[in-house]
Amino acid sequence: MSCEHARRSILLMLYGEIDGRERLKTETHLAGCGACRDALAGERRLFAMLQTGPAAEPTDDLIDICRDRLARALDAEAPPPPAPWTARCMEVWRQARLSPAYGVAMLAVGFLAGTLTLRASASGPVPTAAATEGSGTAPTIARTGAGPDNLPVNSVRSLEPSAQDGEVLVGYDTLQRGSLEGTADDPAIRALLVTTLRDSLNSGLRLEALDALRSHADQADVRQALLDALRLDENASARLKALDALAARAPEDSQVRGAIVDAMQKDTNPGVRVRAIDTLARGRDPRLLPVMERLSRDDPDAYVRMRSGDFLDAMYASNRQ
Amino acid sequence: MQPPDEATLISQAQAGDRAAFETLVRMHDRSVLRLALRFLRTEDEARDIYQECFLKAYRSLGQFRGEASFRTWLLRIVTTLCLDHLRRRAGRPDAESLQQEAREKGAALLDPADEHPDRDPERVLQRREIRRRIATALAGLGARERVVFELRHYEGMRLRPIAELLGTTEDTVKNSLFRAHQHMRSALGDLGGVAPGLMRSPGDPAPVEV
Repeated sequence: MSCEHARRSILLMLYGEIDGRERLKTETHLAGCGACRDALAGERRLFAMLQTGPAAEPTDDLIDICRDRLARALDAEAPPPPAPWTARCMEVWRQARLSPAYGVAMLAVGFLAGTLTLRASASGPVPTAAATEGSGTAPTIARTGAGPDNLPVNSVRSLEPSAQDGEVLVGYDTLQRGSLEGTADDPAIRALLVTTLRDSLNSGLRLEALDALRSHADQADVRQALLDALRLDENASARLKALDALAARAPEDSQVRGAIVDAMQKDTNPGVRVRAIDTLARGRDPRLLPVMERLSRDDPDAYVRMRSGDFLDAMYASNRQ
Repeated sequence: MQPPDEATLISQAQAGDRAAFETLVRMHDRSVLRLALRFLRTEDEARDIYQECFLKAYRSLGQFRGEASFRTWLLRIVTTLCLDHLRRRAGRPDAESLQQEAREKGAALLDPADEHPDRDPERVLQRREIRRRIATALAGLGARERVVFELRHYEGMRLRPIAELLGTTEDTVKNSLFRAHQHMRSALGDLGGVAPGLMRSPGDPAPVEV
């Protein structure tokens, strides 16, 4: 094999794009050629540097903006045929799920309906309100329950046309707004933070909750929420923070270690996979060798392959000593 | 109730069911937007390409026959749009200022590693500078080399699917990848101990000092 051929094979080898025979020929050439070994080392350094390259993970906000714009463009693209009032109502509700702007509008409608109802009512819970649209007259609000004064409507839960033509049943939830101040040592605060981490659709809030819970992974509820976030959160930064919060527990907690091994192999974000490798590498556990071997050979990301290769080099070097 | 599978959604969308199309959008739009951001670097342009891609898919749904997966079909559309966009951008009289803007915005895009609470501020700055240099080097690649390099190196896509995506052969894609690597080695040779002299193969162009 010529040096020129070897240099091309080195690059493909680092990308895992050559077959076993070609790899063997390249390794044989490398064993006898110092210049090509230097080239391989230089290429590895370049790969390491390129790992710092520009990230391109879209934020949730950007996704929302794009979806909203697309929904409106699709409206213009193929205008829906005229529909009866109930169908239009359901269409508005359907779009509310897609578009933040419609969502806010629907929330405002629900809030207004709830406030009007509640102002006209005696105290007590208000599970539902029915709105009737009369022909040529302003809508009237019919109370079906009573609630405490000034209780804000939190969200519209459901919107269903009723059997009677022109009527719609608006189901909404009410919530008393409150605030609580303290550290995550306080079980009440911690419970709120865990709920935020588990349930909030706002990734910014989840990241804040992760920061606040970072040093409380020894609490069972926090530990479980962090494990779930590492496995399931769609935001890579959140998974990374969950991993960091759990890292200190890895040596003595086999479930945490298992979750990090899973992340190392299956996380879609190479940054998370690399962090998982680095976390587990500290333990120098020889049981990781087969997994690291596989990653160093097959992972689609070059830096993941390099970091797992570094682990293997360190393990084999320490075995030789 | 089980959500409908992708094939059912495609059939429903082809029959004019917009909700089914929107479900398909939600299943794949993160990948589409990530690719557009990766190639173009600016959110404004990526947003426009996202929209163009899905409108084009919506109008062409009837032509989708399922030879490739729906995801591959969408990625092919977005890659083609980005390639055209990069070529148009390079041909514009204000290309240099546009590229400069893309480089700066690209270097500022979210990197989870910088969010690490223990990250040393000096190292964060160093990483940003390296990122800026890499963005500059990437902007200096030809459109096709750029697309191949980003898909292989940063998106982890194998060479064969890249070739299918671009409608070309695997060998052509390999050559584009080699050329891209030569360029990156030359452009970044002075950073972090990458020695371009050592990396030069016989016949390679002399390294360019940056």
